[in-house]
Amino acid sequence: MGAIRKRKYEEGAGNLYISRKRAMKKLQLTLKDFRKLCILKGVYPREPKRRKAAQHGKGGIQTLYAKKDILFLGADPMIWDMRKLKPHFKKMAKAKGRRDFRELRALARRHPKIDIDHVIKERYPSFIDAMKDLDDCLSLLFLFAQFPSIPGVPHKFPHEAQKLITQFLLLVIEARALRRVFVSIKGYYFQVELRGQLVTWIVPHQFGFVPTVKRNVDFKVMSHFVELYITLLGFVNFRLYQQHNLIYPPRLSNFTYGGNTRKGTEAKGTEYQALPDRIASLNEPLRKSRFTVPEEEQPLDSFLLSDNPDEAARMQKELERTNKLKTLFNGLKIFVNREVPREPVVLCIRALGGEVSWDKVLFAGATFNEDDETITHQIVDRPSMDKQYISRYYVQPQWVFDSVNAAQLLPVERYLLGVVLPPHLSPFFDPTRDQRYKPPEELEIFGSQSEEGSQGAKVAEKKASEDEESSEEDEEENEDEDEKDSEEESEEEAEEPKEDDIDEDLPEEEKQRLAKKKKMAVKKGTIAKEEPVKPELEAREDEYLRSRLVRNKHKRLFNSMMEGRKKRMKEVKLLTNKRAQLEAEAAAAKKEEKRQRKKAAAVLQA
Amino acid sequence: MAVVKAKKRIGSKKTKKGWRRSDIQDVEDFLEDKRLEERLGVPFKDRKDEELFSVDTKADNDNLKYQSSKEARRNQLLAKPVRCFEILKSDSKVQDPIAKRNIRRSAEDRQHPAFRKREEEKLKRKKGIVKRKEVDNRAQAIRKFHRQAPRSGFKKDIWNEEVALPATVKTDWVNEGTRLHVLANTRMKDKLRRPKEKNLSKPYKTPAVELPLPGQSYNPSYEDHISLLETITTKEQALAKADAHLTRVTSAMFRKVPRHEAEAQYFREMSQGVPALDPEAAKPDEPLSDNEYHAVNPPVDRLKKKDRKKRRNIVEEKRLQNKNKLLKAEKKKLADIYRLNQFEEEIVNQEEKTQKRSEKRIENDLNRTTRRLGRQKFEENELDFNMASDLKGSLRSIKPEGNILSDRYNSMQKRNILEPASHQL
Repeated sequence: MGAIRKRKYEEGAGNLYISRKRAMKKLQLTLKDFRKLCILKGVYPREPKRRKAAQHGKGGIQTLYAKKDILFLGADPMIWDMRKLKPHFKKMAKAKGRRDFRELRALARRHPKIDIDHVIKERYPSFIDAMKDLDDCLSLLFLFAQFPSIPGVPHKFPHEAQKLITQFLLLVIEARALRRVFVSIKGYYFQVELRGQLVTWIVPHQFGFVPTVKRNVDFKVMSHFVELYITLLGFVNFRLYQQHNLIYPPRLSNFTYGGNTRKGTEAKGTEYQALPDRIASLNEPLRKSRFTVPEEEQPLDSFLLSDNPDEAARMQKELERTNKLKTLFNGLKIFVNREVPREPVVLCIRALGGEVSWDKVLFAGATFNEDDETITHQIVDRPSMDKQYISRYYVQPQWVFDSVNAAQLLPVERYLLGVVLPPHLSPFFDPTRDQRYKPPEELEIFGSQSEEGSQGAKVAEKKASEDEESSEEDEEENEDEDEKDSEEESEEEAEEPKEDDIDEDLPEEEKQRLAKKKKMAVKKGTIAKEEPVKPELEAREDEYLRSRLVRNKHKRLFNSMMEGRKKRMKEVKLLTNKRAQLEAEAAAAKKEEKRQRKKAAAVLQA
Repeated sequence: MAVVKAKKRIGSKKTKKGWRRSDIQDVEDFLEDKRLEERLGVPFKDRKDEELFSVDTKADNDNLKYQSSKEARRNQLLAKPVRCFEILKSDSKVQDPIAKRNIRRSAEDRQHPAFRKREEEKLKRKKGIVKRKEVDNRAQAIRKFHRQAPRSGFKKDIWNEEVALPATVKTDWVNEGTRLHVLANTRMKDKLRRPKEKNLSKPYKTPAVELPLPGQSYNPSYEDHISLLETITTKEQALAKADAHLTRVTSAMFRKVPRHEAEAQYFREMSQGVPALDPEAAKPDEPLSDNEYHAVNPPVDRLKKKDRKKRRNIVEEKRLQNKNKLLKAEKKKLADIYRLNQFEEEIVNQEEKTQKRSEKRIENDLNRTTRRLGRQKFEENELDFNMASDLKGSLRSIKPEGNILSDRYNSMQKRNILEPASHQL
């Protein structure tokens, strides 16, 4: 028996990969359909370890797929629907040519639909997997929701994307899930926390549609992604609504839907017509489901079990922040002026418990008018207003965003109408870049990551009180109090020696006895305290010991790291001192000015 | 004496001459009158008073208006039809004798009146003008509301369903290739499993939405903005440097030469070695100095040839070597029986090592950001930024930068989902 002949590329890399052209031929699909199938099923091109062998000795760089992936693609039933499309279009063309419109209509009705529902479960076996891919999904759908109909993108996509993201935002509001927001020159970045997962996405600024240069982006490819993500978000929405005990698709709680035939209660046709806008306004509560789903156990206490104390502390801090955030705007009634971008502001306020409204003419869903005296804040973005109510604060939109990031209502003074705003800082920290100077404004909003979280709050309080006080009067009061205190102290001091004195009326013996007794008395002992080691000292020693353990091989790297750190800390210290000096100078100048003014006033009075 | 009207002489009309002689001026005059009448309409004397005159019941304001400004007068003039084109218009009242003359009707004229009516209604609806009856039609509104709802497929919690996974075929005795082939080419297609998750679902570690730099805020702090600009400048400088290098080593390396000179040079180079064109090549080669034979290879030394005995010895030696080797191996096998425990340990260690190495390889693969997937290299989008003059510090006057769609596309290429391509159709 002779040995089996081994041909080249029958084993190893040559047999693992398949070029795109061969894959298309194998699946009997056109490039268009193949691409669509790959995107929907999540099959991506691969880079082989040994390209030459994988390409069967051919030079250049081919697009390669794993052979297994292609077999897997071939097993999908979608492929049959895709193959049906070509003869279908041929039939339609034929009917059109014959001007047989009845046949054409019938064919259009029988258009083969490609159902991709099964793909979602296959690609995202658990719900968490789906949540993890939501960043991509939301960013793309928010973008496409703004698009007009473009060649290459089915006209229903923007419409459906708009619907689904509205549903998602409503859920974010109901779940009070918003965590962070950042306004960049590209758009608004939102971060929400749903079922313990952080989801971040970007929403473009709402200005006019700017068409993309077609050469850069393949719209057809993107529309396949959109198709997948529309289906994904639909199912995710369904599950999230169920988990939060809401009816899906969303129903307004203060609207009587059809089916209730009692006269007088039923909604009119016009009201129905206005319904989509009312839902899109994000300003009305949703109807709860009658069947409550039991809450899933949240892994809240996991940080207590965590081994890493730093991680545990961080999680604890994050949890406290979240709890504060959820009721941030509770009890506030905020009116949004028409020049302010409505949707992001309304989302922020509603998702954190505030009441919000706008001009009735601007959009549906306004709940109160501008002349309502109970309004606490009005968001404006113009240099001045003609008519102002004294019962409310007029603040710029950045106040809302900064407050969300700081997880506390920031003092309005620095955000008032027409005031130059403080910088809008990014809430997305880069923990690796912690060794840098942070101005007090930043500390106020985010606190310091390395230090206690409450420091930020303290700074904020201090700032607020500084702004409010009229410094001179306070100073005077303080002086008075100081004087009082010192008087009291001196009185006490005067009293003390009196108690110690022994009565002089007693006889001599008695006096001696008492003196001796005093000497004999057993004094209460004190426990000799050992000086406890200061924690900082201990930490420093620890660090030193650890640094001794660094291998010689890495010593140079370690030293350079330490040097860098020292340099950065020095810079931080320098800048902090500089700032303190500048502030002290400014304060002194202010005081001096006030004194001068007072003097002048005194002279005038005289 | 009464003037006797001379009797018209009626000559013979037999010949052409006779016909020419006849006077038909009166007939022609009459016809001419008639045509004129047709062109201009009914003569004034035959028209009714109402057609000619009208009773003026309104004050004529137009004449009273005095066009004060020059511009107003100009505008009035502009409103009038242009005189030079008036001559092109027909002033005849005669109707076209050929009723079915081929006149090109406009697209609007060609439309069916019913269709035109429907279009007009659509236009009205677009403007928001709807019949009251229709607005109040509740049933219709509800139907429309439900039609607008997104597709009805999202009616189930797909992650709560119990789906039996396809049973795998136990194939310990079939090799992997055969198994896959059978699965893919028979009715057992649904038993083909999705390739492993770690290799497929996310071939990347880069986050889908990359977080913005602090300097990209609409109202950044001074330090953040400066550091962003610095990053961008550094990148741009590196690009410029690479570009300058390319120019230096390519186009700057060669001197620019006028065309005729370049042609002459080309001719010179190409004709080198051709005797007819090159005077150097035309010179005869120097003849060989002596008449000796020159071989390319060195001569074979007959004395060094291996004889049969030598060859046999070599073979014998080789055979012996092999035999010894086998013997040694057999001996080692016998000795190894006592080292079985050691072997087991070695195998375990080896497997552990392999496992670790493969895990590390996968980890490394994921850590590598972008792989080479196609002919074109991946190029990252440039960072977006506002110049200091564009930063107004107010949300209202923000100047949006960057294209999110292009960013998404680029991000997918970066995460190895799409292969980079400049132009896809």
